[in-house]
Amino acid sequence: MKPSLKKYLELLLLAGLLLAVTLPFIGQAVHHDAHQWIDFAKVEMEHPLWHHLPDYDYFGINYPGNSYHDTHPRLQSLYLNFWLRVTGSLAEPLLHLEMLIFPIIAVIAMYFLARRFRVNAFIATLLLVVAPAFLVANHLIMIDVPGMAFWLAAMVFYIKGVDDDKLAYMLAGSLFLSLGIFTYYQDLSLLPLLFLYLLLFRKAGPRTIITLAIPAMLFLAFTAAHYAYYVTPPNFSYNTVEQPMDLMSIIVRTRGAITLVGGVILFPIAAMAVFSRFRWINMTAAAVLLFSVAWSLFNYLTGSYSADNLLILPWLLAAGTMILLYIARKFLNAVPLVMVGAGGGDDVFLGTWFLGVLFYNCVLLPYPSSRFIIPLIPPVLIYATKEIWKLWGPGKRRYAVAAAVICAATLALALAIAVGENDRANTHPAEAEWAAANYPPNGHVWFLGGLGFQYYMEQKGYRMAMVDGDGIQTGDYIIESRNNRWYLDRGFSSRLELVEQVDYQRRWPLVTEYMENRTSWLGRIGMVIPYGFEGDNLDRIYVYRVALSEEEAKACSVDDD
Amino acid sequence: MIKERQQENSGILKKIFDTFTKSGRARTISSLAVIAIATLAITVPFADQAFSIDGPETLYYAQRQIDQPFAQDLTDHFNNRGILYDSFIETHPKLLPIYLSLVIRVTGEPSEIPIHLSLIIFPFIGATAMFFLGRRFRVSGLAAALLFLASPMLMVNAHTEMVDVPGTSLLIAAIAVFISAVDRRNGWLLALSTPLMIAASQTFFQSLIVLPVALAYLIINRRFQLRYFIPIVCTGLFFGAYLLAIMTVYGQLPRFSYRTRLNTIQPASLLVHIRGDLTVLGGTLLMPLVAIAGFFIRWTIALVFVAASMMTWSWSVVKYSLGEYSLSETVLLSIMLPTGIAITYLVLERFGTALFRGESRNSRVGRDTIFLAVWFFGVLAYVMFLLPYPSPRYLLPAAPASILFLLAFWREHIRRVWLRFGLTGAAVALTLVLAGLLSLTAYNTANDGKRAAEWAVENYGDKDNPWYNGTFGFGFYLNRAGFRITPGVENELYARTMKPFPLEEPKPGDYIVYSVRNGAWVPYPSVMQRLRGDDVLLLYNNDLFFFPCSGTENCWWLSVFLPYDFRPGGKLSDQIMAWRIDETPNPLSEEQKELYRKVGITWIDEMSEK
Repeated sequence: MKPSLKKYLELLLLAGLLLAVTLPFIGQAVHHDAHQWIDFAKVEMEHPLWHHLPDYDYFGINYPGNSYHDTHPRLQSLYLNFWLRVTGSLAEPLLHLEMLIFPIIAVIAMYFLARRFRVNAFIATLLLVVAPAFLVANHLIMIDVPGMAFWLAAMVFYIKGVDDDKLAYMLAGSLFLSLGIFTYYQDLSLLPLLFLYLLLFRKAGPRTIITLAIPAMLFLAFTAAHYAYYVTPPNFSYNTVEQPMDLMSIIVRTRGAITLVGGVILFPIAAMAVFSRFRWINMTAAAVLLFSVAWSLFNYLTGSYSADNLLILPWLLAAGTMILLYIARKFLNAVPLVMVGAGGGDDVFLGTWFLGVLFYNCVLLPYPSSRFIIPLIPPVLIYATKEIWKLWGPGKRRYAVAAAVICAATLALALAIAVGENDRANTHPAEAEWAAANYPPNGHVWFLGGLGFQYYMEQKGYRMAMVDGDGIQTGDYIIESRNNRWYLDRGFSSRLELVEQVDYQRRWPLVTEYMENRTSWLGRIGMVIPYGFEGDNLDRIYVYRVALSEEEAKACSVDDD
Repeated sequence: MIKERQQENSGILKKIFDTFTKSGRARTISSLAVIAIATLAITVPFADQAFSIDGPETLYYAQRQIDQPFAQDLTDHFNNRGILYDSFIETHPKLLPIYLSLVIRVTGEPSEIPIHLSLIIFPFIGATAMFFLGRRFRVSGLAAALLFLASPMLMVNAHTEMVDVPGTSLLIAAIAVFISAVDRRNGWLLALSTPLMIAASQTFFQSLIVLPVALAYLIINRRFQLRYFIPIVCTGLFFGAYLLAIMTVYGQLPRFSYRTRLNTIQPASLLVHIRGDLTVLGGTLLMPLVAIAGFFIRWTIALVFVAASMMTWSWSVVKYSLGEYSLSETVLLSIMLPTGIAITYLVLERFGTALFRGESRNSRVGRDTIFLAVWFFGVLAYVMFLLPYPSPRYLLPAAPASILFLLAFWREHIRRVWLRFGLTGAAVALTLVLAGLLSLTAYNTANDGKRAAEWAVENYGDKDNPWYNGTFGFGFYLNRAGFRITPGVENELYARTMKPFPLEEPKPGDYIVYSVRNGAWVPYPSVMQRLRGDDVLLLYNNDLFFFPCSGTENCWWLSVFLPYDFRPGGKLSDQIMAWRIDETPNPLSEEQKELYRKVGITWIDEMSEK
């Protein structure tokens, strides 16, 4: 078979598989932070350049005027806005179809990137398609996959341009990098990373630097314009309850990030097998496993951890440690070679990529989340593909079987998580339907809960309960979603009388969100595991009635007297 | 016959040309003659410019020094916020007033033409020093001198009576002589550099930069013989003795800083300061387009310029769309600031290259680059951190190093002599055009102050008790005409006087003339409440450029934002108001109360309640 034909066939196959694991989920409800992108897309109908949501209520707090800024730039919502103008609809299947372009870009780019790093491009890209973090994120209407798609496309074009000294490719890389930066700020990491590539391969020159500088200049121009308009720089960080630089918080986030690396890129046991070629890494992983078993057992016995925490966390941590140590080893071995000009550039580049993303996940981002680690999937998979070949090659059959088993196990895990997340997402429209049937939105029923729950409750016409209870009157009802709630001021919350409670039972054995166990796929401060099997419901709805305030009660008793 | 005569004539011209070009000495003399002519050409047409800005302060000192040549204070003096001092010591030493006092002795009273003609010596000294420095740094000395003279930083300020041009000129002369003395190991030149350094540091305090710059030259060129340190030590000792003398006689140190609205210790304020400094550097060192074309031969500098431009344009276009900037402010800021950033980056890049590359560090070119960068950044650092606001006159001492950098850069990167010559000629010509237009604006602005004063004298000079509220040239001319100054309310907070309070102020029936532009201050409420408008004089700008300055964001000498604006066509440049003091007071309006609160008078609300 001609190599070019093989390439196209492989790409077609990969795209087909991607569609096969994505299309069944296009009806998934608007989930997690996606409602904000949709809100921005709606605002952009009139004000395409606004970077704020006017007079916005978020998690029970009102942000007056133009004070609400999201932590991402607005290219993604502009894209949704474009489709909204074209279709005039925000129906979930349409939104998901609109988003389909991004994983396709990511898959094609990954294929060529794997070729550049001289690994089996088909296997590496296949592993990407089935990687749980990537596959499940494809069912969201958020920026993580678009950001990663632009990241990979920028990298592929720029590196190709630099390697072949072709300006057109470099400019294409520059364009994709600019799109990436305006999609999410994490893509700014590419600037130092690609500059490092130039240094490693001694390619720094006017053409390479100017093309790399274009996205940086565009971003600086955007920052200046943002500052000029809002008198504040773009919002680069969340307001979280934990201090980002607090040491304890960094340790917890580091544990979370390593757990995710071990658990959401490959099937954990497969990851351990793939990266098991070095004895000292195996020994270290065994030590980590033992230590974390002891740690989890202690926590289990003291009631802090659930059974799934105890049974899953040690394996994910051990697998994550193996991947981390493997890449660190490759990186450290390559650095001296680079210093003396004896090769090693690829390993230093991939190592910096992985360690850089891991670093910002541990230190800069607010909590560990499967979607935050998406940009470090490609270097892990490039190394995984290399290792699969080293362990089970060169015999073609053995290699194919090993790769197939790893892919199948990973795909099974990914689909299990995807179904779990799909169930969880679809709970919110069901909750809103239930609310509409039992407590119609008559101006005296409020909702307490953000994210997807907020999206559907607002669609039904409910108003958000603010933390201080502003506007809520005695006798009003508040419908709270346990998984998405915020806490009302104590003075007000003491007036709430529980009227009823509705549980949305889980039907799928795999749990992707359960607060009590700190199980969270999409991230939560203090997350222990990204998925588990314990947890009796998908969400719980509490309905409260607002009782008389103290003053009102006194006034009533005086009247009675 | 005609042909022969033409050949004869061309032969004579050729001989004259050869005489002035082939012999080194003759070439120097002819260059100095060109510099002298150029100096006269840029200064004499503006010799009758009215006294303006802080120039009158220098003249007050000069008048006092006619009788007491070494006096360093003004007695019973109101500063430019209307605050009374029994003994007012200004923020500069007093060598220039001593010099001007000699001129005033001859002319009888401060008069514009003699004062300005007597000051022409300073740009000439500066340009001559630039000529020799240019030759020392192996670029065209004449080009260096002419670019220095044509720079708006120098040219506009050379028409004022302030210390900046004399101080900078003496600073350059001191450095040029010192370098020459060290290079040639010449004791006489070394001896000459000492009084020049002292003269520079006694003209304005910024010239103390001469000490670290001279020291840097010795260190960079590894000249550690003791005798080279003598001028530096002597100047330091002299300055120490000066401080001691001031302390002994006046019981206070000289004022090293202003009370300003920008606090450089605050990061946000410092950023505004730095932005302003770079804007001023880019906009007034040379014509900005010349600086862009001249400095951006290297692609890295061009890249920095484009990046800075993109940032600035995005910023200013947003500000324009919000209505905060005018179109000309948008355009000018977006040209000047990136130019300033790129110039600074160029110096930094070359400094870094010279410092960190061994072969470069050990070469003469490398050492020269490091020295010029130390000079440039030394000035930039003290302007950013120590001086109260960005201003072209404050950045003037950085101009020589920048110009020498530019010429050295051209010499290195442009091999063709004719191209270099053409570029230099165009740079001088275009910069001269900009400086000329700005000088014309400064000239008309200064004369507006005098016109306003003359209008006041004509209309109110014959009244019993005419008063004025305003400073700079406007205040100077009214003071000379016998008008009395209205005390500012800030006397309650800052006055340093033994006189009893309240200070004497206008009574009912008196008149006050007030200039919005010329730094007017807030009078006591007893005056403010009785002001009744009598007449108004409006002055308009008819130049190409405009120096808006009514205590707002920008003007030539107080350029927090832009050093100049492009607003042709009758923009209101000043408003002169004449008031009569009424018998019955009116309650203060909220706007008036806000003025008091702004200057720190907290009792204004209590007074209103009473």
